[in-house]
This record gives sequence, structure tokens and C-alpha cells, in this order.
Amino acid sequence: MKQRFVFLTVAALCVDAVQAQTPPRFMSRSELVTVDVLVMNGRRPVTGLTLADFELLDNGVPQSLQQLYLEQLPLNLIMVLDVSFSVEGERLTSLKKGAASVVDRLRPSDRAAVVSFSHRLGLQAALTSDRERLKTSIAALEPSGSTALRDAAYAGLALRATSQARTLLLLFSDGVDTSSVLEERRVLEIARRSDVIVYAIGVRGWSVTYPIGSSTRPVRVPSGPVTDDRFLSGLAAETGGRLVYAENDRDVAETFTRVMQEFNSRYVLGYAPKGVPDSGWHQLTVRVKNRNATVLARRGYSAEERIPHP
Amino acid sequence: MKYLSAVFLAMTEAEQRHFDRARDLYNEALGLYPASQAAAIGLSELAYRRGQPSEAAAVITRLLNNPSKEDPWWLYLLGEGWRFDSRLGALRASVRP
Repeated sequence: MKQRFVFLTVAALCVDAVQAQTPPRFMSRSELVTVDVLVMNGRRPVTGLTLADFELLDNGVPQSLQQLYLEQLPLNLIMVLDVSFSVEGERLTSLKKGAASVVDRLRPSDRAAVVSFSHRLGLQAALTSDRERLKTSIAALEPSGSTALRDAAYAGLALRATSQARTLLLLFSDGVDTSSVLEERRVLEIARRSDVIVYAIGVRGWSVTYPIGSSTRPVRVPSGPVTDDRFLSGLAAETGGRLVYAENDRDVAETFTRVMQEFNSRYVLGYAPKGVPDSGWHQLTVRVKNRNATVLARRGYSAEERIPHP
Repeated sequence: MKYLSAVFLAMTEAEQRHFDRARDLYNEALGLYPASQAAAIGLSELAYRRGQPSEAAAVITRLLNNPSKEDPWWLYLLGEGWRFDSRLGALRASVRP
């Protein structure tokens, strides 16, 4: 049987009112909805699970899972990288090293794009499988300007619409937004209705303190995230991704590697929706049977925005 | 000023779901500063909200391929933009009984 994938993208808010006036139509087609899932046991991804281990509810209705894809699906990776003034020195060097290492991990069928942002957004490399092109664009990154974090995140999400492949948005930022035109709630709403998986990488801050009794020797102590924790964690949560922090500038490169390792531990579940309306917002619940585990997946999808794939 | 007023009016119209009017205003802003980033992002996000993700992507791709060199939005932020919340709060307080 010819396999069809259904990828879910952003929906129009304006359709809700129209849908509310029409009787529900129930899904009966063989189109598959795919759900990208990460299973965690504490801080470690759980691997080796099979279809039988998962339970998925679409609007509260249990669904019969039909497919489990691990490595088969090609990936589109959109790297959205903060190169505002504060990303300099070792932080910039580590960022370039980390982004380049991600390129090295791409499979032949994968593609990547590089978007840089300060207050100004720019496309350093359009989606391509040309690794040298990607690495050259990463090496050329130069810091300048302020931070349009929300606008940049939106741009990454918007680029998703040009492709039908499984899409990972890797968003690096070391600061809070200072120049976006878009409000946080607007970007989060689009993320909620997108099937992009967002992994955000932030950098923890450090401050200098003088412990009591040692007034002459300053000590560096963690001062918590310097990034926009609320926005980045919201973005990740809406898409089933994660916000991961580099502990310091040098750790930025290693954090990129850890994120890609974790991403490769994810599962992609497929099912043909049964017993649910063919319209409106569908709340998704994914569980792992007989196991105390945390499951990260997007919270739902909009039926109107499904894109059938041949 | 004309550019900024068009962008702010577009935001306001979009918030009230007057999407055609908002689109016209963003395009008006882009007519004044064709390569401006803020108006392009606003226009793209508006297309997304209207259920036109391909159009939204096309606007963003055009912008990213031709990064903005001049955008009055950036000057606005250097001026009074950072006071927006407090100024708006004061304005609201002044008109409420």
C-alpha cells in the first residue's frame, strides 16, 4: 500500500469560527499523522522502545499506532544562531565549533540551513546538503548589534512551510530580546500549531562575588540563565523539544553535540486518526506503557493544516 | 514617522482581526521602506495567522535573502521604545476614571 505521511503545520486562527458552525466530519482516510516523541528516564533518553510500548490519544480517543520511524526520515535542520554583540570571543568560537559539528552529523539525505540574527536577520545558507557550504557560512559569522530573538525564532518556524520533511529548529541565544516586532504570545502560538521540533540552547550566566571572610578573592558563581528562559522554554515545550543550557562559553560546542545525540534518540509515531473530527484542534497525549518515564511531544495539531505527502 | 505609524496601525488592525486592513498597512510601510525587516516580519506573521504558511515563508525568505539595512523600527527602539509599557500604562491610567 502506498504510504502517505501527513505533516502538520501552522493553522489559521481565523478558521476556528468557521469550523464552529459546521458539523464535524470524522477522519476515515488512510493519511498518517506523525508525532515526534522523546522519552526520558530522569535526564537520560530511553531508547529501544517498540510500537507496543506506546499509547497515543487523539482528543482523548486511543489510536492504533501503525508506524514507528527511527532513522528513516530525512531531516531538515534549521539553525537559528544569535550573533549579537555579546556572542564574542570564546563564546563565538564555541558556537561555530558546535554548529559545524552538527553539520558533520548530518546524513546524506539531510539538509540544513543557517539563519543568523542580531537585531537584523540574515540567511547565511539556504537549505542544502552541501556541508562545505554550511561550514563556510558558519565560519563567517561575525557578532554585531542587539537581539531580535522572537523574530528570529518566528523566521525559523516560517521557513518550515517551504519543506515537507521532518524539521528540527536549533535555536541558540545568549541574551534576552531587545528588538523584535513580534510579541511572545504570537510566536508561541505559531510554534504550538507547527510540527517543527525546537531545541533551544542557552548559556548560563556567572557573576562575581566576595565570600564573607575572603574579601580579597572574588569567586565566580552561577547567576542563572542570562537568556530569555521563559520564551525559550515555552517554545521548546510547545513543540515537544527542550531548552538545554551550556554551563559556560566553552561548553556551547559540546551542548550542540549533546542536543543532536538526544534528538537522534527520538521516536516518530504514525497513526491514521480514527473516531475524531476531521477539523479543529486535536489534543495529543502520548504515554509509555508500564514505565515511569517522561514523554515529550507536541501538544496537538490542527486538522486544517495537514499536508499530505506522496 | 509614516512608516512607524503604518506598522503600529497594522498591529492594531491585526489584533482586531481586520486582516485585510492590516495587510494593506504593512504593505504601505514596505512601500516607504521596501527592505525593512519589521514590516516584512509583521506581514509574514499575518499571512501565517490567515492560514497561508507558504506565503508567510515566501515573505521571510525574501527578507532573509536581502537582509534589511535600514529600518525605522530600530531607531524607534533606540528612542522611546523601551519605555513603551510604562508609557502605555500611564496613558491608560490617565483615561480611566
